[in-house]
Amino acid sequence: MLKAVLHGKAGRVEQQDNESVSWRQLFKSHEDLMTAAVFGRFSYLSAEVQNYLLQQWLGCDEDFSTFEHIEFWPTYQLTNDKQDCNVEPDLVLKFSHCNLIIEVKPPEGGNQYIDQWRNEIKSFLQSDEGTEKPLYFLAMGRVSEKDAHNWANILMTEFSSSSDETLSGTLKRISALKWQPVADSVIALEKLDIASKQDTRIIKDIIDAFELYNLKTSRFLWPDLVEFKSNKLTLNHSCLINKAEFLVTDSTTFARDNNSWQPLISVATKQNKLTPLNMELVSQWQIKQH
Amino acid sequence: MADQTTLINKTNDNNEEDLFLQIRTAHRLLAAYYQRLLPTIEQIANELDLKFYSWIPSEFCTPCKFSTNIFDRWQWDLLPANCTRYVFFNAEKKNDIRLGKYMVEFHVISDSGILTENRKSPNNQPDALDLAISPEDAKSVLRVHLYAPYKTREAFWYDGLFDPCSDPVLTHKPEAQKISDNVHSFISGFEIPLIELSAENSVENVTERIKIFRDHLLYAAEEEHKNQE
Repeated sequence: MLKAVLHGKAGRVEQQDNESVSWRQLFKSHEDLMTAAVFGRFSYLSAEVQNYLLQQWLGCDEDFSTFEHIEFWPTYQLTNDKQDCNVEPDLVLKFSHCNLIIEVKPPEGGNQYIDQWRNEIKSFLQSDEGTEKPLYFLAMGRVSEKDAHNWANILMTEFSSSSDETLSGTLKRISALKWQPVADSVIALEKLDIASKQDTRIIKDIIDAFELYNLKTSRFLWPDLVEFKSNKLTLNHSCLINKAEFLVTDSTTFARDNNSWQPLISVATKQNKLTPLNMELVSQWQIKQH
Repeated sequence: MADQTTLINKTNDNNEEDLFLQIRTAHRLLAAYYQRLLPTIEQIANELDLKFYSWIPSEFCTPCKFSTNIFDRWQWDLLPANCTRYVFFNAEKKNDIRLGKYMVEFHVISDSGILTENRKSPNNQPDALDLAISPEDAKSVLRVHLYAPYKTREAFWYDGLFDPCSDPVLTHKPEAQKISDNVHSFISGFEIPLIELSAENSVENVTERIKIFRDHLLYAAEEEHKNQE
């Protein structure tokens, strides 16, 4: 489906109000479609690449190379003081020794919010799957660094200090990042040795999906430029200095103003050590020639 | 005589080859610089949820159109990104100046030596090799200007607000400057060296600073609006 959308073959789809919208536009605003476009391919990546990406995204050195399976939009029951409700995180990734919940917001979608993070973590911990395995939570897209930092601190404190044992023990880390750093880390894989040929093909598909969401996939980094050893540039190059006076003359002025010939004469004098021409000399030549 | 001419040509060829080595390098450096500068500015605008409004070179003209005689123009026009204004805003429409909305201009000054006020003869095309300020003494800075109306009205943000305003006085701390005459707005701004954009977390740092200036400006606009009611 992603390929059809990328190549303009997907056409349009009718919505509830009988208005049609292009699949491309629908993909861009719908978080479930972005989740599928990016993470539908994740399980096909090698363990090394999965591990590298998750360590980058979560900002930790936990070992994520023991991937078992991925669940899309699983439902968990949240038990609250007042009433119960169902909660549906976008993804749950299961590893042999830890679990990871991922909440996705596409670049042009709605924002992340702390209540949703809290509910997803809490409902997972309350479920049968919330075992002794360490739990990680990752929010992707539509969150500022400041909010991410504050909310992570608030929730980590809340859960670690909970009197309910099912909630207090296993939450290890909450991380959040925008899509551009996610895209950057995927693109960076192309320069690393860890990606196999199959990884490279899958990565290409994921990068194509990023392009659909207007993420920058040709990354030009400032350090590359700052550290770039270029040839030494100078404004004092002899070609410029010697010819400067006529090279830079405004072309229109040059044509209209007789005085603008003077720089050319002086350049010729300086550069070639010629005596400036004058009418008297020209006359003498004419006389001699005759 | 023939040998001498060959020798002179050979020497000139070497000089010219060396010159064009520099020219090739200079152009590639510029492209590499723009490939970093523009995405950085765009990222900052994205962080602020701003929409692109316009861009324009600040000191010279944009390169002329296909059929306009380019030889009648200044050669400086061929460097439109040297000193350039990039304008963003957050209103719904370009012709809806609305209280609570604002405009941000990123004025990139890659070489302060070409600014009109620093040129010997502002009406003539400056000699690139003989500018009053040397490259060593010139500065490369980013000026961030903010504009916030205190009165809602139907007019284009560019013609009705941005264009009639002179540049704000640049300050270290936010300082809302009131522009009354037909503009009904507050403006403010700050300046940073362009090299700061190459630092790690530059997008976050500049964004945070703009937010501080923005919040101050919007507050001043809101208060002025209340006073005038």
